[in-house]
This record gives sequence, structure tokens and C-alpha cells, in this order.
Amino acid sequence: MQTHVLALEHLGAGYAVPRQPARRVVGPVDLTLRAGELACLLGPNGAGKSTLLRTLAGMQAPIEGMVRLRGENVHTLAPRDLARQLSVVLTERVTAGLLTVYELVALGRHPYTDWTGRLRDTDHAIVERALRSVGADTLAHRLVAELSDGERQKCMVARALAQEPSVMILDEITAFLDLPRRVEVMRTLARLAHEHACAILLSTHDLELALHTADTLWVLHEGRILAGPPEALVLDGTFEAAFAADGLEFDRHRGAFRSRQRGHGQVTVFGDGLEARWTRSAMERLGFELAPDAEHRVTVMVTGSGTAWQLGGRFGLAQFTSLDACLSALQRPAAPPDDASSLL
Amino acid sequence: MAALAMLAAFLLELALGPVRIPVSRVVGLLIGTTTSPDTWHDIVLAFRLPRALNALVSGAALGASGLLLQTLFRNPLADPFVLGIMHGARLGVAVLVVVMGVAASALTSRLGDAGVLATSLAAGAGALGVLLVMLALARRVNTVTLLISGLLIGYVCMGLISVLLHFVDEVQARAFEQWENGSFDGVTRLQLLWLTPMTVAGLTMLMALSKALNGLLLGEQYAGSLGVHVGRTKALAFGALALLVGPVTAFSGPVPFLGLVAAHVARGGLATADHRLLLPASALAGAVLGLAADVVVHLPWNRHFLHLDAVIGIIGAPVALWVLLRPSSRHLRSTL
Repeated sequence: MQTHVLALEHLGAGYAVPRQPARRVVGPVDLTLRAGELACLLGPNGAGKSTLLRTLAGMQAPIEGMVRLRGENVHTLAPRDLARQLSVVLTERVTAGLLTVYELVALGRHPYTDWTGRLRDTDHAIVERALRSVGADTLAHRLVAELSDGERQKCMVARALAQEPSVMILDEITAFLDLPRRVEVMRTLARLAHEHACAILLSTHDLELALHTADTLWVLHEGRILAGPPEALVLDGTFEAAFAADGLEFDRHRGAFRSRQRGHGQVTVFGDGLEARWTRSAMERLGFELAPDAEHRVTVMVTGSGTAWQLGGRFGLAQFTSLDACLSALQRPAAPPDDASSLL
Repeated sequence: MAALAMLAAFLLELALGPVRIPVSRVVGLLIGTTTSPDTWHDIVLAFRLPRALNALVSGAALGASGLLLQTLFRNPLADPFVLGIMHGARLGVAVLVVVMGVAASALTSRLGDAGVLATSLAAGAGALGVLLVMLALARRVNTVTLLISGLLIGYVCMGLISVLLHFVDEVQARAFEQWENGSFDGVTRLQLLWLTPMTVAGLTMLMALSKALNGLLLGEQYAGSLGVHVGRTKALAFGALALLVGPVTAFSGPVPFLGLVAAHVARGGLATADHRLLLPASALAGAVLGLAADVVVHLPWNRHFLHLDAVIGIIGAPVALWVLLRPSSRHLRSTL
């Protein structure tokens, strides 16, 4: 059974320009989000990701069409009613001095408390559960101003969770985090979406991470959104088309981008296992093209005493005991003609 | 404890001065139990009591205003003086004076209630005008530029006041210039009767807004996403500010730094960001500071008398420096 919590109906997002018709950046699009779904919005810089998210969150009026949240128009809902259904985490840095993490997360209960903002026992329980859900319960009494970027983002997610939303929208929250922290945040979000039956939509630049974590990808390309399971978008070439850029190509086999360099020639790598996999990776990085029957041949041999790389081809045979030495030897004869041509 | 400090400052304010009156006699005079010489009676009840009440009420108004401005502009150095709001209020009164063709004090004495009300309203309108300019600027500029803009707008208002005073006669202009230095002196009973309810109304409005103000700690976008009516909250907060800053400036002139200091004292003392606690605490701290500063001003100095600005400056500047330099303000300094 599929329950749509958020529906974009012929939605056009953009911004008003003085004395001109509004400039549409995205749309018109028709899309839906299901409860329990983690969707990643991908797109190049300046494609309109933030504009679209702000429009979905009701912070910005649409240029055309409508956003429905459980059937109700997001842009006509009272702020308090909207806040009970939808929460956001933005790129904007929160710098509230003297605000503790617990108080920050408790602000998420705002749409539920009375005019004095007093927290009832149930509110406290929800705040504590939100803190635990993101693994921030040990931070509860720290000041928000003292947190690291990663810790602060976790707490902002906890605050969004304390609103008990059916849709959570997050804009570029992994931007300032290192890789382990990004993976952690994404995994947490995927788990939260499933556990709380809440639809989570986040924009990110992290294509590979999105590819491996998201249930659905929304790929924003030239004002259109191509949506679907990550694997389907890889197979039908959407990924390649959206992110094609000079010197970068998407490897459908590995599900990753790699930089495309000027060819140094072709090489065939024989062997299996981890050693051969990383040897191939090194060849690609250096600008060799992997081909079945190439002028250079590298054979990776794993024996009891260690790994050996045997280099064969035009220049005769040589054997090396380290990848480093093998790569240097391979580059030496190939380098002069290439450099010479670039100098001329 | 703060309440005790306020009571102590209040009694000292009544007791100290060129004529020293024992605190026990002051209490007696206030309650009406002891009979004292007529001069003491007059000094305490006719001169010092209105001044003390003015310092207390105005201090409370400015303390709460300082806190509110710091939250609204997300700027820890905001205060009604720094942002030029008091100068705006004075400009409002100057415009009124020119239009009516009489000086502020003359207006008050001649027209009674209507005069006091008109002055307060003019000051409130002037304050609102500057607030709206600052609001428009705050969207575009960073913390420091906003403070510089406040300073510049203050200068513009002062310049305009000077120009306006050319259009009134010399006596009235001189009366107006005396009012350039903030002071809790010379407030009339009638003015107090207007000042107090307006301050109480302003503070009550702010207390009712404290939940929304807590939401605004995260910035307007997050506040909106938490269900806060941001536009409505700001409009009401500005109305309250006009009620709090307008009459105080109209009756006591520009009192610098008091709001800034009071808000930081409250925050530092309670170590919280919760407006439900900070608003009353800032008002209380403002009242104590206003009274304490006025006590110092009226100590029997031999050679000259001190200005209220000077006394608050001596307390205020170090507090502002402390706010900037303490280790937990790293994030603030990096934005400066």
C-alpha cells in the first residue's frame, strides 16, 4: 500500500523579478512522496534545489500549481498546522548563545504547546526520544554555540523530529561535514524515515552517497525532475545526462564518477581480488584506459610471500614488488611523447 | 535578590543627595507614619520620589527593549540607543515641537494630558520610523554594518533635530537642547501617570510574545517553520518597543547603554536564552541599573555634577566589552 503524504501538482518554483514576469527555475512537475521514503534531490549548483525545497516547505509561494500535504494546500495552511506536519533543516547556521541542545530540540514542540510554551510530560518524552534517535542524548546539556558542525546538524535534525512531522525537508545539511559524518547522517535519516513512517526529502551534492542510501532520487536537470529508484536512473542514463561535465564521467558499472583525463594509452590488468581492483583504479587515475587486449599488460600476482606486479608489452618484461614502483615504470616510457606534444 | 537590590537602590535614591535623610525616616515618610520637617517631606515626596519612580520604570522599559532588540536583530550589541531608535524618538518630538510651535516641556504644562500623550506618541512614531529603516537594513547587512548604520541614522536624526530647531524661537530651542543629555530628573506627576501604564502595557505585550521570541532565536525562517507568525510577532514587538522607548525618551531624553547592559546582566545572571525568564529579568536589571546610576548621579559631589550618560557609560562600556571578549563569544567575534 502506498500512501502519498506530499504531492507536487503541476508545481512551478522560482522567484519574482521586479517589473517582469516571475522567473521559473523548476517545473512544472508532478511528483509524490510516500510515508517512510527517503528521497534525495540532486542537481548541479544553481539548478534551483533550494528554491524548490523552500517552495515545498511553504516558505516561498509557488509560481504555478500546488503542493499538497496530506491533501491540504501547504501555502494556505495556518503556520501552526503546517508546523505540526512539516519540519525543515536549513543550511543557515544557528547562533543562539546560551541556548542548550535540549532547549533547541524542545523548540520543536512549539506547534503543540500553549501560548506560554510550557512543556508537558509528553513533550519532554518526545524531546528525549528525538535526541536518542539521532544519538545526541549525551549532548543535551551542552550549549548549541559550542557544538561542532556535525553535532549541530544532528541536533537540528532532532529538533525537526520533535515536531513529529509527516514530511521532513532538509537542505544541504551534509555540506560542511566530513565523509564519515555524512555517511552517519544519511544512514540516520534513512532509519528515521522508516522508523517514524515519515517522508524525508533532502538535497545533497553527495551523488554517490545518495545513490547508495536513498529510496528515491529526484534528479533536477534543466528545470525538470527525473525521479525514480537510484538504480533505475543509473541504468537509463539519467545520471550521466544530468551530471555530464568536462573531464567527469559516470561509470555505470561502479556507480561512481571518475575524472576523465587525456589518454596515456591502453592497459590490460590481469588478476583478481582487491589488489587487481585497486591496480585498475590506479591505472584509470593516471589516465590509462582499461582495455581487453592493450599494448601494456599488468599482471597482478598474489603469492604466499606477497604481491608482485609484472609489467609486459612493448618495453619487455619487468617485475615489481610494489604498486608504486610498477606505476613509476609504466609512466616513464609513456610520459615523454605526451609531454613533448603538449609543450609543442 | 534582584528585588532586594531594587528596593535598596530605591531607598538610597530617596535618601541620598545634597540633603541626606536617614533611610528609616524615608520609609516613614513613604508610609506616612512619622512626621518629619516639611522640607524633608517636600524633598522626598515632591522631588526624589518622582525621579526614583521614573528611573525605575524607565530602566525597566529600556532593559526589556534592549533584550527584545537583541533577539529581533539577532545582534548581541543592539539596544535602543545604539540602533538610533532613541534619536528617532527625539526627532519625532522635535517635529511635534516645530509643528505646534512650542517646546516640549511648555507643551506638557500648557496642554496637560493631551500634551503628554502627544509627546509620547510623537516619540513613539519617531522610534517606529527608525525601527522600520533598521528592519529594512537588517535583511541586507551583517552585524557590524547594522550597528554602524544605527550610529549613522542616529547622527542623521540629531542633524535633523538641529535644523528643525532653527524654526523655533531661541528660548524653546535652549529648552530642547537641555534635554539632549538623558536624565531622570524633572519628570512631572502627569508624565509618570502616562509613562507607567504605557511601560506596563509594553512589558505585558512582550511577555505574551515570549514564546514566539524564543522561536525567533533560531532566525525568522526556522521560527516560521515552527508555526510562529513572524510578521505578526514583529509588528507587535515593534508596537511594544514604541510604547517602551517612546515615552521614556520623550520624558528623560536619550539614556544610552542601559538596555544593552541590562539584557546582558540578565542573560549572564540566569544563564538562559528563554525569554519567559529573560524579559522580566531584563526589566528588573534595567530598573536596578537605572536607580543605581541615578543614585550615583545625585551623590553630593562637591565640585560638579555627573551626567547620567557618564555614569551608565562607566558601567555600560565595560559590560559591552566583557560581552565581546569573553571566550564564549567566539562565534560572535568571528562574524564581526
